[in-house]
Amino acid sequence: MHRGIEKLAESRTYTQVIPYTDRLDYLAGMLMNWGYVCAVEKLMEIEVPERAEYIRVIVGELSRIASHLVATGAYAADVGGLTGFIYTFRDREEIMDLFEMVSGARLTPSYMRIGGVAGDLPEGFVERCSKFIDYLPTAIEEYNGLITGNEIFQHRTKGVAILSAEKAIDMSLSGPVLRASGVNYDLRKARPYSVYDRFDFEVPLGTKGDCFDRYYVRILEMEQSAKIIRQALDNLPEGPIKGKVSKVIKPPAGEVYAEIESSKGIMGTYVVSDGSTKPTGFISADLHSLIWATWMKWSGAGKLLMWWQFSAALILYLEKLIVNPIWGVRQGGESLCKYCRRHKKSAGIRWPDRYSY
Amino acid sequence: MTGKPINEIVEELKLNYPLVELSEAGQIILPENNLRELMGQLKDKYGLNFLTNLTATDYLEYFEVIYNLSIIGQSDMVHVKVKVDRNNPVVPSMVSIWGGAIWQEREVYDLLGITFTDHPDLRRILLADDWEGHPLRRDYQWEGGRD
Amino acid sequence: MFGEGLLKGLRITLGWFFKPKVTVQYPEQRCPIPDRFYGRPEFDYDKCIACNQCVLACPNKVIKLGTETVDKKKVVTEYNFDQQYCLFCGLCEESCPKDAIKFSKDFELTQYNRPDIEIKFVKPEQVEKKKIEIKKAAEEKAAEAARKQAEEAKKEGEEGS
Repeated sequence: MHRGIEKLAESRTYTQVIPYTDRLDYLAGMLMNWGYVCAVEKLMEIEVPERAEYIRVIVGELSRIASHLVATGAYAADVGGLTGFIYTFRDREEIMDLFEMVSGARLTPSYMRIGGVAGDLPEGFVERCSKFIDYLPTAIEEYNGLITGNEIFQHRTKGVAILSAEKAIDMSLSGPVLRASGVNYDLRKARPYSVYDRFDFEVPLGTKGDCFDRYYVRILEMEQSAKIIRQALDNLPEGPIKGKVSKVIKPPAGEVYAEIESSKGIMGTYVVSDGSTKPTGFISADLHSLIWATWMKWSGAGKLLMWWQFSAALILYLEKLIVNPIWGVRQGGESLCKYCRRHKKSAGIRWPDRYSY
Repeated sequence: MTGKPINEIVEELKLNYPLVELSEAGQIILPENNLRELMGQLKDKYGLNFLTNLTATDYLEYFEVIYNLSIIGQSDMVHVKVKVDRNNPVVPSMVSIWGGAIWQEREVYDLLGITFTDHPDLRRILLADDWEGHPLRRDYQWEGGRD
Repeated sequence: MFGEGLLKGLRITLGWFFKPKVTVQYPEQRCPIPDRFYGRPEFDYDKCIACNQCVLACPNKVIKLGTETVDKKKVVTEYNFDQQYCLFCGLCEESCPKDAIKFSKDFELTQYNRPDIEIKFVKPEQVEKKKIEIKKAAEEKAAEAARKQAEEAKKEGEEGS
């Protein structure tokens, strides 16, 4: 999402930019924080303590699950199944509560700091988080019953807006959209940042690259994220949560580009420093694929819109056939269909053009 | 399997194009005049098939257009920079090489006012069509707001 | 069979009719709020040492701090928190060395009128009280010093005689 934070960053210090990165993608604020601090840490060559890295992995993957729950649920709602949406949001709420515990905010956590995280995991977080991870498979079972297995949903998504692997790569798509087309490119595997090389997980891939694959890859990714969180919780080391960073952050002059795998694709941050406490160059959050993903979603919905129009027309037709004659007879024998130009002529009323089809 | 190291790429490119440079931070600096030819080589010869980021920075004396390239499924990342004259900011468009450049070039055009030649659809992408100026230029002034 | 998936979905939703509710009847029932929650800001006048750290830490220039020097001591005369621009990031709380600015758990921050959004923490009587306290302390100190000086002079006089 573009909010001109590149310009805002020019007049703020490095730490002050963190709250703004939340708002780049407020469905996965933790991952946006991570992408930014990752770049500044790379520029300043700060070593992040292990515990902080594990905490980052835990909250980052929770964020990914939360974001995918919105993606899948809202997609189901968009193609006509509001029930699935409500079920995914029910479980997202639990993640939001966990974020509230750890950072004090639900959507805009501003939890990461340059060199670590803002605070240690609060008491009871690990238990509550592992309880959620234990519960997640049953929830995914429910989504599969409600959304994935639903024939209407499948009918409206399978074979719609097929995106070939070549086209996806050419258009610089990344994240689940790219992987749904069968391209194995996940930065957590291809270029392991942070401590991702220590976890055992798979990269789910689609086969056809249609709307259904783009949906189902996300469901599978949630399972893998849960697997990562489980391993991170089990191996959570003790130690400090913030590296050796001075209070005034003053990176050397230079520039850096760092990328992480966000829930919607690659999140790249480009930071240019002139050696002062404020970034000179602008940071560019490359959420390009997000825009494309939405665009693809809408082109996928094209078929659906046609269907909607068809059903609307059907209702109008029925109204014309059944309701209006009765109504019309009662009104004195004249047909009063307000939606149809032919009838309004016969009724002798001039309707504004916007009512005509 | 990974792609060739950056210094080897630069050495090979230097044979034909003497203006290609390798900066201290490991970034390839390309000349502006035969940029498309060089980029085409980077894609076809060295397999850098994925444009992850295209952006630009204002250094007050000149602009710099930055391309971040990588190879699908591998860990390589190449940082390519091109210096652009600030008074006449024109760069060849990369849309014919990487299709994903289309919106990113529009963004750079919108916010920094760098013109991309042979771009199929160079319009403003974020701001209104009748907006004056390019906000991410560092000398851009805007009246209003809280400050 | 076509429709099997539909029936499965319906069975899941039907199952939830017989399970406890997950929602909360909000104004009457409330969810527990964690300790780190960023709600309405709270300011402790006596703790503040007017070091300006929170003003510098704020990314959005929310805090306005006014000070006055009375007898070489800084007195906070104004501490305005313009909530409408607050990002609730907690950087001010983090930077404060004396825990003077804090966030409470109160999340119902809506106001009917726009000027009411800005919180003016410092009341004039607080400032007056503080000033009087400082003056009193200064006077006492001066009196103490004068007394000591007098004593010393007396001592010197006694020694001299």
